Amino acid sequence: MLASLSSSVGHAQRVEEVNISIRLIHSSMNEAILEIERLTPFKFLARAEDVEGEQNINLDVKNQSVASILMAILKGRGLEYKQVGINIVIKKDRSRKREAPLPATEKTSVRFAVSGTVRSSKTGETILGATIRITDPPTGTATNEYGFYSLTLPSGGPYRMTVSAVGFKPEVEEFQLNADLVQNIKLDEEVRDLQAYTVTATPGSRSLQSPQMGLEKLSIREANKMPVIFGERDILKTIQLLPGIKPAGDGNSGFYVRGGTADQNLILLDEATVYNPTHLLGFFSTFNSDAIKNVSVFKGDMPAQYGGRLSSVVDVKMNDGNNKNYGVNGGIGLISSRLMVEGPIQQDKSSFLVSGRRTYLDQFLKLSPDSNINRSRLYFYDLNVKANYIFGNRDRLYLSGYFGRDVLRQSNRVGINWGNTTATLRWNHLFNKRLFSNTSLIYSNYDYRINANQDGSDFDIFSQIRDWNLKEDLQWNASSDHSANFGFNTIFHTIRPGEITAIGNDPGINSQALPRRYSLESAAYVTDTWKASTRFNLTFGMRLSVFSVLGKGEYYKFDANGNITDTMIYRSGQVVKTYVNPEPRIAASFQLTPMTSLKASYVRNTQHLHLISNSTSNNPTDKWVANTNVIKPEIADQWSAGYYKNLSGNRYELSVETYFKTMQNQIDYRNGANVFTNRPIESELLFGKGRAFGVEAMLKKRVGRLTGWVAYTLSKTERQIDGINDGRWYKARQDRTHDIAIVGVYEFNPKWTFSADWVFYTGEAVTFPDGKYTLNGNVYFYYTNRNGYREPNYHRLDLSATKQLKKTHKFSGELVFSLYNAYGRKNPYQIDFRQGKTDPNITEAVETSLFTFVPTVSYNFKF
Amino acid sequence: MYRMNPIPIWLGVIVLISSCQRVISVHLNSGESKYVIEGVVSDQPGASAVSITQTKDFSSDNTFAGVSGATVTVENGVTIFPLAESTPGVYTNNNLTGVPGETYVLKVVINGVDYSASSTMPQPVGLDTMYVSNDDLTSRRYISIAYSDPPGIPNYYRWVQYVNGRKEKTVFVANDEFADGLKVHGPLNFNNDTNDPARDIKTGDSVRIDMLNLDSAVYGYWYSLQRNASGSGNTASPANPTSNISGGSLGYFSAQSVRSRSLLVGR
Repeated sequence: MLASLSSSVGHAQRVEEVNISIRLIHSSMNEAILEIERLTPFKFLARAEDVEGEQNINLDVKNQSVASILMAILKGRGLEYKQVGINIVIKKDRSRKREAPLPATEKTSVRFAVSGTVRSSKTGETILGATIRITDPPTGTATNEYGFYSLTLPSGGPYRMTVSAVGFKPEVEEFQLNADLVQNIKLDEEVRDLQAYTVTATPGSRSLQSPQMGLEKLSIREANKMPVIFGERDILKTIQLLPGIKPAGDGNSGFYVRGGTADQNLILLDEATVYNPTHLLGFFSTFNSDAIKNVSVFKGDMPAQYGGRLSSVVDVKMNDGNNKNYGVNGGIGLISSRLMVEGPIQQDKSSFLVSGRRTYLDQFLKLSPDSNINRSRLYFYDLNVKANYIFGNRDRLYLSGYFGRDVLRQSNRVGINWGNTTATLRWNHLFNKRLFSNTSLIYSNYDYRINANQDGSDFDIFSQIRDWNLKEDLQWNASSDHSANFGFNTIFHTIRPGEITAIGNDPGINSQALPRRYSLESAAYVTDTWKASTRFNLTFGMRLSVFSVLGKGEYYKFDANGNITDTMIYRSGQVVKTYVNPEPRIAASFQLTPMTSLKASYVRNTQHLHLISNSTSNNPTDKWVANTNVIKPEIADQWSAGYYKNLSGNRYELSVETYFKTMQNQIDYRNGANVFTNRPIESELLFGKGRAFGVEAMLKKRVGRLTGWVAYTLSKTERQIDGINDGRWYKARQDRTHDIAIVGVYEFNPKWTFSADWVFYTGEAVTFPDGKYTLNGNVYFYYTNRNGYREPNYHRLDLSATKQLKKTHKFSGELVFSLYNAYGRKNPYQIDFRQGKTDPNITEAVETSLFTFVPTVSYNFKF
Repeated sequence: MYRMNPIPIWLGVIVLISSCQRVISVHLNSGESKYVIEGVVSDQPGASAVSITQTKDFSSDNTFAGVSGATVTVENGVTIFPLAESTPGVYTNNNLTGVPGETYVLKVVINGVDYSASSTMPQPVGLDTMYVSNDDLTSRRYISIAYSDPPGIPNYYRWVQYVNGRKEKTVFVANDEFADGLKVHGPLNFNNDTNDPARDIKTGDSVRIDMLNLDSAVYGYWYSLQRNASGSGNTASPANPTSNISGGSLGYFSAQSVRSRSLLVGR
């Protein structure tokens, strides 16, 4: 847009020489500029944030020069203009202090709160993390996860408040504060074809003032522009393009955050834990993009209201549904189709949403003439539902649920189905303008069932983890300098590790059940964010985590080789062991300039549930195990520091974060561990410590036709466990030295949008043999060093093109073409060693790779 | 019982649909060479032997020379059986035939270094029956077996399949953790080692199944050998199986009772 500047210098008319007639009544600066552009050959250039807030322009002139008109409308607004060829550049007048357009703020000790909810004007959806800024005195806040904000200010005013959010046009409100005030804000969606004078749009997506570090936010709008695999948009895959969040490899939805393992990520859907966030053995995630509003990833620096995992919290929020109009949207892809229906319950107040998805790969299997194949099953489905209801001005009730199931069945012989069920009942209550309460009752369940029927052996295996969780969170906007957050939650976990039911008269297997495990995980927390000065902010707090292992059941003591030395029997409800862990957190931010800030933080996290899986791919049968008398809570201490800078008038964001983390009570497997056993699992495990450090850098371009980012992570993560590698420090499997992600989205024209991403990372640390030997006529492999080798480096390019089809007021559709792994890189999925197939006198390494060139097309619609 | 977890099958299907395999070259270090002792005392006459080999580099060929010149004895608390080298690296004594219930101690001296192990021979359990069954998914034929697990005691089994006298490589082990005291039946899904359809079981083949009764340590050895040392890239922690031989060698010492059954494959 700046490009036209140089070409037209020279013969342009001067603003003093062009006379026009113009009439402006309560116009905004935007409207005034558009009107002048319409009447003259001039084009305006300005920073959106400088002009967006300017309202209430009144002017009625006939045959006046543009120069004098500009003088009149810019007067008193702290803006000046300059002509460059046919362009008129409007910018902040820096030569003198801005004239106070209104009487100065009365400095009194009386303070009032301004509060309200920020919503989309189109759908009525609440907007999370919208930025609220007050110009004078300079202060601000952001909306919470329910779109609510509250700010305390000295009485008087007038105040000018700018509300902005990614993907929406900023809105300015002016008000006087003589009592507590409710200001509900509605934001219009940002129109894609930006007006000519708009150089920059909304302010940064991340706050320079907030001490919160290690936070990555992604709205579904952003995620929807990324390339897809198998035509499915996948928010869990998209976050893996962010620095410090590393994919576990092809065919695996698991990811590693800052040197942690995949089970050290807490994945929440509307506050409910999703224990297995994958479908189809890891190829898809359980999050249907139609139903998702946004996702926040906390990379270890979790606010005190989150706990229970060492590495990260992935907090996924579902859409509330449109409270204005009924809408349907959906998609048809090669692998699956989606459909969502939403609409108002109370017009403009409350709404519902139902969203479903199902794959139909198995329908192709049905076409097979082979009865064994056409009787096989291979599919998954998802259902998301949500509804909310408003009671008066202070109360709102939400009910949301998720049901998902995968079904695999080979003929009539053997099958497995697994899935998550979550349900959340939430009550938002506003005690007063400064105290916001959220009470939730949350149910979360993951189970799988295996059914086998082969040659007389008929049996079922059932396993489950189930939670009941009560949570109370209070946000108290105590004063203009302090905002506090406090609350508690308590979770009752029931784990059924495995129950075998023999079927028929002669099953060849005994019905038996591994004893159920019960535990109570509770926490209470308090945290305060203190705006110590306009430049220095501090968040400090404490989470007290209490975990009790409960009877009934048998618990064991073990010797160093994992043999049981003692058995203890506990009654129902009897406390086996209680672990109490204080988790202090402190974070500070210091704003160096309006565009740069420094942050530092320390946090301790503990984890009480551990996933046991001795396989490189994630299986639905991986076991969740709670602490016992032997398995102790995992503990991580993380120190981090960061530098943040907004460049070129907020067009670019640069962030550099570095962390160092130590971990205690890390779990690894004994050599030759067997995790499919009814012996106590502790006998197969070893415990030790870990350490990780890394530097994460990201440069992001947020506005313009080309948006995207470059992210780079340098990191190292190691473990030291007695019994592995003679007790030396060794590389953890998830150790990745280099990790690069480049993401670009280009809006070519209103019809076509192109996107691409390229990723590169150092191959995983793996155990390869150092030799071989013969036993019983076969060749076996000799290992000396756990994780002593690396897989080949991984890299991949994905491309995607979206074509907007004919768009009417009622209906819009788009076609999405994508190509996964565009240059067909054969990335390692698994490396096996074996005796040569053709020459049995040699041994060879065989690499299996998945997905070279996966083209997909899908059609999405909305009406 | 035999295919408790259907995931590998399905993973296999998905991998087949979308994957490709290729032989790659990987630079592997040379490990320090170790002795590998495989000692068996069988209750079948002439089946007891101790063989000694050494580990080799991955890039070497698969010809493993025996280690000669070792001193090998097996004793049962009453008698000491000295084993003589019958072929290079293989030590035997024709008088050594094991008796179920007895504990045997192996002693090996190689270049002045002592290695020893002990193993107790379990009471034999044999097959009640065996028959040919068809796999649903492929056209392959398998041998199905049935046996009666003795109640109240832990049992550990290994089966070895010979087709026309040729031994298959699949390591097939089971215990009675989930099936104590039952009549157990199911297919032995042996894969012939070259995946060559010509070597699948067909009409006219003669098939023999050896049912080996192992002690707990040797069962654990075979279990972890096939899971963690067979070269599969799917296990997260490949490792050498825990050997019951002390002194720092690889391998195992098993006192095992063996029962065999054969059939001729009909139509």
